Amino acid sequence: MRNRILAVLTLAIAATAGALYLAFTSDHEENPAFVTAVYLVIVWSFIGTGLFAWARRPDNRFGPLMASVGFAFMLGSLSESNDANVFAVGAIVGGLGIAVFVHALLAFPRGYLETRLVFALVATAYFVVVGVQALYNAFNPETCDGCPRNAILVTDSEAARTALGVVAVIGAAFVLVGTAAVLARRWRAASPPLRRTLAPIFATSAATLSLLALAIAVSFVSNQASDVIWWFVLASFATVPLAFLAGLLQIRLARASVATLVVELLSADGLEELQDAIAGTLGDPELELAVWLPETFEWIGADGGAFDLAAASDREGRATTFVEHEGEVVATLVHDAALEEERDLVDAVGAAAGLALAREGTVEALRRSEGRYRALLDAAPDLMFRFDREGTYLDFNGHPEDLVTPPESLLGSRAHDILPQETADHIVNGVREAIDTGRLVTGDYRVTIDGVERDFEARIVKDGDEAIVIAREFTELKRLNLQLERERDYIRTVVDNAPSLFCMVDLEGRILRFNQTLELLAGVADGADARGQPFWEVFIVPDEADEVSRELMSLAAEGAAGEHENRWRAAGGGEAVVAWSTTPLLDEHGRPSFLISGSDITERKEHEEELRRSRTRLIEAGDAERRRLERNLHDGAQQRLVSLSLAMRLAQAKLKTDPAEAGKLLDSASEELAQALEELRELARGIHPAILSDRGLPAALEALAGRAPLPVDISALDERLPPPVEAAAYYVVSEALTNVAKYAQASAVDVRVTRLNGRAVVEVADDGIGGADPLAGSGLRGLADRVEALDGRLHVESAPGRGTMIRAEIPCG
Amino acid sequence: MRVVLAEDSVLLREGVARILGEAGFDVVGQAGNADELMLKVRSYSPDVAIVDIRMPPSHTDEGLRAAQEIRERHPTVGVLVLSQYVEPSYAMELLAESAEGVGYLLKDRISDVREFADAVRRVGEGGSALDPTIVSQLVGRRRRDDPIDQLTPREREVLGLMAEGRSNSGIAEQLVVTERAVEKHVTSIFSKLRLPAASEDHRRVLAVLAYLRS
Repeated sequence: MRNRILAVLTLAIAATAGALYLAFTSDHEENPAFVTAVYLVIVWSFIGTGLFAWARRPDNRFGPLMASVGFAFMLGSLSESNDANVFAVGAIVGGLGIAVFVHALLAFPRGYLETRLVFALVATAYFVVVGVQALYNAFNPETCDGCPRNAILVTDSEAARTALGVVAVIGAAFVLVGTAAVLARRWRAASPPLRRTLAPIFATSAATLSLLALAIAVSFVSNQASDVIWWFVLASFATVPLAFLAGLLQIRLARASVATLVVELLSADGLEELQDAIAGTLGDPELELAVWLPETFEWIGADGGAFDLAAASDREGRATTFVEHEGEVVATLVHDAALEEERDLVDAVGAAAGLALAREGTVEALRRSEGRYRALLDAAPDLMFRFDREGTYLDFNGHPEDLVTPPESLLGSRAHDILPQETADHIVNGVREAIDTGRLVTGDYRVTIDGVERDFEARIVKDGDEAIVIAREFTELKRLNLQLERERDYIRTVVDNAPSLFCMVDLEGRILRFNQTLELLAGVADGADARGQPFWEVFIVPDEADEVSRELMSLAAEGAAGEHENRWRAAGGGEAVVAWSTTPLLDEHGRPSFLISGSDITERKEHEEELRRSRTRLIEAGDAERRRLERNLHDGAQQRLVSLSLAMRLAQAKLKTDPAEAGKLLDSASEELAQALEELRELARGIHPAILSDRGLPAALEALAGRAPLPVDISALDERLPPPVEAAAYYVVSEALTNVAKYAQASAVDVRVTRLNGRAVVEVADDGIGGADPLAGSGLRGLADRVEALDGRLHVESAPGRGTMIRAEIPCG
Repeated sequence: MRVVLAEDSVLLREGVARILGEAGFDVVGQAGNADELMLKVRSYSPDVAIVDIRMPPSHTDEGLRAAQEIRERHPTVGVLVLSQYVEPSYAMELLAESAEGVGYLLKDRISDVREFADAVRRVGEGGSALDPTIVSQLVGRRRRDDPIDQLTPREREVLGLMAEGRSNSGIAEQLVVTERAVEKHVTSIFSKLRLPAASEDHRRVLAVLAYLRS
């Protein structure tokens, strides 16, 4: 490659030397130095840039084409020759440079001719410049002053010349207009990156071709004027390679900005910022970044969603570049196909992006941080403004109270109209910096809103030709407000969800507000209907309202908080017992008021009452039992012993006088004694069956079953339970069996004692007539008390005709 | 017949000892608690030990446990437990494995000296004695589909006496019938209750009790 360029360069130098020789030895060139200088500038700028482009992109024929334009122009200097034949060739190919230029222009930037129209244009250009010129010369005997004779003259024909002139003008017009049309179409279709490449060439070429057209047009009127314009054409011509160079230079500049990009990418927070940074550097706002997730085998876009890479890259005019890091594909850039022209730049950007992605550790981590960032952004009610370069407010998003002026006077105004000079400068400079560099710009500013100084942190990002300013307040006031708000929410939640009843009243006892728990209890909503009403009228049952009202009135005077218990109105016309007290405090306006706080103790009261009743019954039952024992002892054993004692005395007295009678007395005394013993035994067992403590529940129940007048099946667990539980279970079965025998008309009874979840479960089921009322007899009531005293429960099922089932559950401690 | 007597109430113990002495028994030792009882039984090798179920220190069932210990360690010594409870399960514990030389009587029985002496003698001779109250409770217990219901009143009486541990002659004497008649009743009872016939009295007792308890 290098050798070829060197060869061409050598050829160019040799040709230049030849051209210089011809110019300075010419006997018909009036101003060889000037002409030579002009030609050399044009020729060498084309050759130089052509070779430069060729060296940069050997595959692209545009470089050689550019160089060819230079060489073609050089051929024009053959017409300086004093030799007639050489002069004739020079006269024919003098304009070849323009045709090659058109060729190069239409082949730009790819290096080849794309469509048939373009091919036709280029062919026409060559035909007009060389073919028509040759024919024209063949019919034109005249040459310039002092020039050699026309060596190719066929005949002098005015008509042929005119005809050929018309052909030339038509051909030139076709070429110029067609080229202009093709360039215009290409410009319209070009993406921004492509335009950046096309712009300098197109601009200078268009100027050159326009001047050329003008020169041709003017030549019909005045050859002298036309000659003057030709100089401009040449000058314009010379700028084309310069423009091309400028384009190349711009790519160089863009590459320089890759270094900046690396810094920017490394500080990019999230995929979208990364994508924006890459897009900004490559000048392709539609660029898309897709990141490969090796765990899930999918591409995700910068927005975190799934990305259809195939569809994106199939789109017209898009191309993809894989971003690799340490040999692994980590991402893909989907960009404008024109960026292929700047392969090096794209690769450099890709490498930087790979570095940035790798910096995050893993892509997954990146996604997580992206998620966090997004969550933060979503959660924070940010203030957002859209500005143009001039600092005009185009749009905003946020609360109007965070604005310095009302929204309607904001939009369309400029920052400098609204904000103090310094602040406005600060913001507008940031906006411009963001728009110009595409980088994220951050800064703080302070504004006075409604007389309060407030601090905002601004993040400014480019969005097309505009910038978006995201402002977040960090004023101390704001922080305190937020804290206060949270605290208030917390207290409100606590107050509403606490089981306590809260009501605030003023000094006259009028309701200010109350909590949800009280709403639920009373069935009254905290609203306009209730507020302002006297507390006692709304919440206290009528016959205690006076008492409460007096209490509250005296509180206002004494300010003391006392404990009270009253019946409050409950939802649905019921009432609840509430223990309440009052605390003086200030309401939200700072006025003295009272907080009434109470708790619904209805259930506790009922429970206490039930407990008291049950205890009373147990005591009464105990008393009754003792009375029964006393009576039984008194009426039974004691009586018998007394009569026994009498009989013994009588027997003693008769022992000598009437031994037979004494014997009879002793016999009956013995009988009496046996009965007394039997009665005592029964009494003792009634007080406590010895077998229960000696042998446990199963043996004791067996004994009960043995005495029962009907079949009793016993199934009892074979483990000892705490004595009170055993005793309770025993008496449940004993009482139940007694009831069965008395009322049930049953044929059999099943007794089961099991253990379930730490409770002894005693079940006595008969197949009798049912219909037992658990609360009617003192027996069952007493059993329930005994069981409940041990925190157990007694349950009676006794549907008529379906037998009776008594079930006691007693915790085993 | 040599007797050791264990009863914590001195008055009752002396009274029982006197009754037994008058009835021709030789009371070789008296004890106030279970340890003393075991010592006396070991020392005197009596024919029968009469034990109160409730003794110090806990006054629950020391006597019963001592009785079981005697039966294990000194199988030749008959044991008669005296109790104030009409609880079949105590008696059954005692009679669980064998009815040989075992008795369980309510203390009330002492007052009927002849019956009491008879029971002590039966136990001392390797027979058994179960209190009629306990037996009547066992027999009277209601069962589903009870075959006992098929027994005649007389047969039921015979069943009870068998359970008390009496021999055929004892039953005959009690009911004032011939031994032959008793044998007929016994055969009828065993077939009605589908029990295997047993010749020896103590085995018969066990079979009957096992049936009654089931």
